[in-house]
Amino acid sequence: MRVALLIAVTLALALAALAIGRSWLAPQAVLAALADPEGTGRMIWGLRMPRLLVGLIAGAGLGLSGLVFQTLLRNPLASPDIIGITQSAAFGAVCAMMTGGAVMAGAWIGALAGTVVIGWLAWDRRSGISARAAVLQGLGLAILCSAATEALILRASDGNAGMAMTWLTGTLNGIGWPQVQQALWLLPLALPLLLSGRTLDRLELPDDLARALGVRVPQARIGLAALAALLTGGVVALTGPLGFVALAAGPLSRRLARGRPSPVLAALIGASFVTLADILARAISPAALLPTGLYTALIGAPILLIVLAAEFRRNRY
Amino acid sequence: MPRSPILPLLILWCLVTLAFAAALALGAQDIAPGQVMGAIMGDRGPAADVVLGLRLPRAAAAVFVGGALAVAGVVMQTLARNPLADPSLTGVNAGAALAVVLGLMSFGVMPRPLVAALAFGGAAAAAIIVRLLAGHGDTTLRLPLAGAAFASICMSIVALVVLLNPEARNIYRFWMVGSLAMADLQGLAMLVPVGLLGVLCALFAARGIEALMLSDELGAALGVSPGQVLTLALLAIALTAGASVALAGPVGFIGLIAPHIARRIVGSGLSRLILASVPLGAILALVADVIGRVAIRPSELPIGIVLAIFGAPAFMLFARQLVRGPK
Repeated sequence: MRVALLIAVTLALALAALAIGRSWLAPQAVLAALADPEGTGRMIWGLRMPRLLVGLIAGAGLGLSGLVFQTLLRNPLASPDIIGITQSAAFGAVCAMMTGGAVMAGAWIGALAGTVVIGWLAWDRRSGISARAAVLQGLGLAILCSAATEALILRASDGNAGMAMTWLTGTLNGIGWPQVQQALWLLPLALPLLLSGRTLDRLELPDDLARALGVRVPQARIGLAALAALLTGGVVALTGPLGFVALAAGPLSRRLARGRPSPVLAALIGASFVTLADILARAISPAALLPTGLYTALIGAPILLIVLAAEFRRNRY
Repeated sequence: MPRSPILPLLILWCLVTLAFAAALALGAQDIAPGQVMGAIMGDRGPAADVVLGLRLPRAAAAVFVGGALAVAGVVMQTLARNPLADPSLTGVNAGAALAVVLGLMSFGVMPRPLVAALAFGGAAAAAIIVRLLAGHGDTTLRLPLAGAAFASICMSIVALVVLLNPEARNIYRFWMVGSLAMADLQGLAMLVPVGLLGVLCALFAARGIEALMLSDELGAALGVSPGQVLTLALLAIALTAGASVALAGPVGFIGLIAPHIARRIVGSGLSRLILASVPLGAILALVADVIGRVAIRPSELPIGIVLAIFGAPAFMLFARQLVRGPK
């Protein structure tokens, strides 16, 4: 029921995203154009459709990996964009770009390295990985990686600030069908995470209880974290670090699922979040074409503040 | 009886002079020490133009910004009993930047006093909001978290406002990470008194803050009124942070690191910490600016990026010690 409702919302947003842009279309016109890819639909099929598809996949991927990290660390703040994994993926991607390597591979290496670093820094012999330490260290890692990324870009582009900005905020500008193809590679990573709801649910229990219910705890944690990191990296390679999508999707999906981790809901929320931000980006400034990540941050930052306030009230920090 | 801080302070100011000289000599084109001296003594020529016209105002601005941010950091760390406090990590710089950018976008070019006033107001408002968000009790982790959230809201609004104005795009990076490239002598002359006033407020409030930090009752017994002291402290933070943001944008991490080094050198005691943090902040800013100008010649890295690259690991280190420390 909730899933059906969210699918409807996502589809409605997708239709709006196809309709809005430099020239606005009525919904019937969009549907008519979709049926006619050679004639009136050329603009929609050539420009808006790939942008929409990559946005949907990126949002779903970020929402999924956000929920997984938040659940593994048992903390709603521990999403990849807060604990620095998104930023280290962006750093890896830009490194690869500068050296002529594969951007996706660079982002994957960056994301995995960021995950390992945070896990290592937040490790404590007595209590395992502490979410408080991970969040605090991640704050530093995020700043470090963003600054290093910007320094790299400024060095390579003779001080071209525009490029640095695009790479630090995330954008759907310049997306075409080749990017859609790359985005489809991410589906094998996303699929196991989409089906991991039951495992995630059990991993929230104390470890011995989860073990009694048949979850191989360390393997499940490492596997899920690696998949989520790779998914984050893959999305970052396509769109750059769209801020706060991963952070916001987890808590919102939990609210809809009565406190349970629901990967499908998180993916749908992430997808509609990015689509909504992209609609805003194109509706507010069609000429300026500001990066979509700016709008995800603008919507997401207040959500971060609400999550924080709730956490503080519960005295978790 | 603690050691007298006079000798360490003297040494620190000598180091500031050295760093200042380096900032005059190094840059896109290095200039020999002799030529730098000549320029200062009154020689004319292209080298003198670079040294006096470009590098001198910039180095002076670095000293000022570094010193002011360091003082803001010391006062914040003491008030919040939190060694992770810093005007950028707590969102104070971002609040000041947002206020100035909103002013610039609605009034166009503004007279400098108005810029300073807006930066001051934004810094004060941000300090109060983040402090309220973090609440009472142990704020070790809450303050940087609330600050990061608040700062990211401010900075996304700044980014949106600046980028929606095509003419304003060239100042985008200045307002996002902070840079000394736009500092000039007129601005410096306007803002130095503001910053100095802030430092004086901090020194004046130092004893009261320390008494309050021990306990409210003790403070009252010593004749300290909490309201007055807190107002003075807030004034000190907002004046110093606001003045430096008005000159150089939201530069980070000086306010975090300078007090930590100062504590190693002169021990505890707020007034001596303030006095030692000023030269330390100045050194950090000068060195970071020189690194930024030399690292990727012929273009340059803004000071804010250099400081983030060195400051973020320092933050992680301090945070690690705190989380691991006795609980």
